[in-house]
Amino acid sequence: MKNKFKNKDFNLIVGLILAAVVIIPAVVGIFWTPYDTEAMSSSLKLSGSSLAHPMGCDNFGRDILSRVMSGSSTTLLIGLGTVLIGAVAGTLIGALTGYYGGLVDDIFMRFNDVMFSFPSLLLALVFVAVMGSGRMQLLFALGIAFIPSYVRIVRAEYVRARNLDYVKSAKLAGASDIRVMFVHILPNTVKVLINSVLIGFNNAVLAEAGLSFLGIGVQPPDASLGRMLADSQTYLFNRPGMAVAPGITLIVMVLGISLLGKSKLVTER
Amino acid sequence: MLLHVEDLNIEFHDHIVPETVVYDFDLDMNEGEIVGLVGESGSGKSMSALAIAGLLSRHDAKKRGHIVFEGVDILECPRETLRGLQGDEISMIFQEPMTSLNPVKKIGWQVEEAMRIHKKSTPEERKIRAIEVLKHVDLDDPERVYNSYPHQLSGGMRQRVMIAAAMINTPKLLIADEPTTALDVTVQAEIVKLLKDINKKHNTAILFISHDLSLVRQLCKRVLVMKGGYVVESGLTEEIFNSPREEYTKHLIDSIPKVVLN
Repeated sequence: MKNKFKNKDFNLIVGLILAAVVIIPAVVGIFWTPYDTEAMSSSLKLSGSSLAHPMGCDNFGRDILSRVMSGSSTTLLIGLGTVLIGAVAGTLIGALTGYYGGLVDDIFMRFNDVMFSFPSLLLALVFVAVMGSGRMQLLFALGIAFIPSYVRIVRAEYVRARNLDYVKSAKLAGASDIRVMFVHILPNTVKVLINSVLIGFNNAVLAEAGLSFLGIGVQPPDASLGRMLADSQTYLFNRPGMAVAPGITLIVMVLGISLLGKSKLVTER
Repeated sequence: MLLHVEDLNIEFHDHIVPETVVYDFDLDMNEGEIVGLVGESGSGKSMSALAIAGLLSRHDAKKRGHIVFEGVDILECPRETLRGLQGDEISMIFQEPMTSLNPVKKIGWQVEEAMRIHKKSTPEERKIRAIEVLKHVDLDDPERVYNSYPHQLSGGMRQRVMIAAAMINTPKLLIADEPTTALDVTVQAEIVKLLKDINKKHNTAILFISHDLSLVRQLCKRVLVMKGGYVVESGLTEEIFNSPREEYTKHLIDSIPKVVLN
């Protein structure tokens, strides 16, 4: 009995299920929601769950399920966009500084240290203050704020790789620096990169929710999980469902992705 | 003259006090010649070899002197010229077959790399050529090796793959930096035999770096002995083995294990 479960990768299975439970509705939510997310109804105000509205309605009588779907798709897209900006820019900068070293590396790394010494949420806050709030601005603000963490990870990999024999042989085959960096070394960094992308995605999701909770992220009437949590505070005791729905969604999304990051598929390759 | 090295000095500047690791290194090699370079660890033999291969980056090490390969000074030519030579005319194999192959790329891809860079060719042409060189280095099942990853091969097989990759464009100079040190004795002998064959078949000059004098004696006609960054003795292998002038060379020769049977 014990052996049967020994080789099963529970992190992978549970992670996939949890991620799917949230991400599939989120993807659907990009194109379709059961009700209009902005349609208000005074008769349905703060109503509990029913067949028509499984998660009930909020303080404006808007369908919570629809808003959770739409909100998590916003969160999903911001998370993906942030990871994309951070990982691409971080990989480029990390590769160049790590591979070449020298003065440019020193300058970039000290700058990176400065960026690092601020919490990334605070950095994102500053960017939002400069660029204004809204989905796109939030995406860029978080994307830029998360670049330093990728730079550090990728740079370390390149510093390690640049003196390895396989890099020497690639150079000796006549490969240009660009080719050595992105064709020979980059595939070797994928393992650590995947992990930091998954962690980065989670951080971005939480940061988006946090900023929206504070009211400087996604702006109403657009749905956002963080925003919904903020709105539900007042009704926490008479309608806890209003907070539970977006809260659980957020937890399940982050938990699912971090379990995926711990799975053997990612760690043992 | 294929290779002419004159007054090569290599200095490192990564500490407060500059450190010189090679002093006044001279070497001449003709086409098709096998020259041995021996010395203890840290004697500067690998550094000289890396400099000849053009692998010492300019901001890591300061180099003075001349390394002239077929009329081109490797220390002064533009990087594009150097890259044009690397992999095409000059190739190198390293000591550690375990780390000298890229762990995430298939063998075939890695063997083809120098050809992909230097010769206009189709994937089919490259595959045919890669299988051919893999066969030349006595790998039993070249087709299977072609589709393998490095971790699926043994040390000896990997070193053969390295030699195949180095030989794909039939270079004029092959630098072998302790190619047998990490291998067991029977495989060592096979690799040495393989290098000899390559030298005979393609008239490839080989700079063979080793601290194993018995291998050098089998393979090389001429030998240079290095110590502490200096070339202390150079000449024909047999002369040096029979009548070493330097005390250090005598010690090196005495250090060859002898099997005495009663």
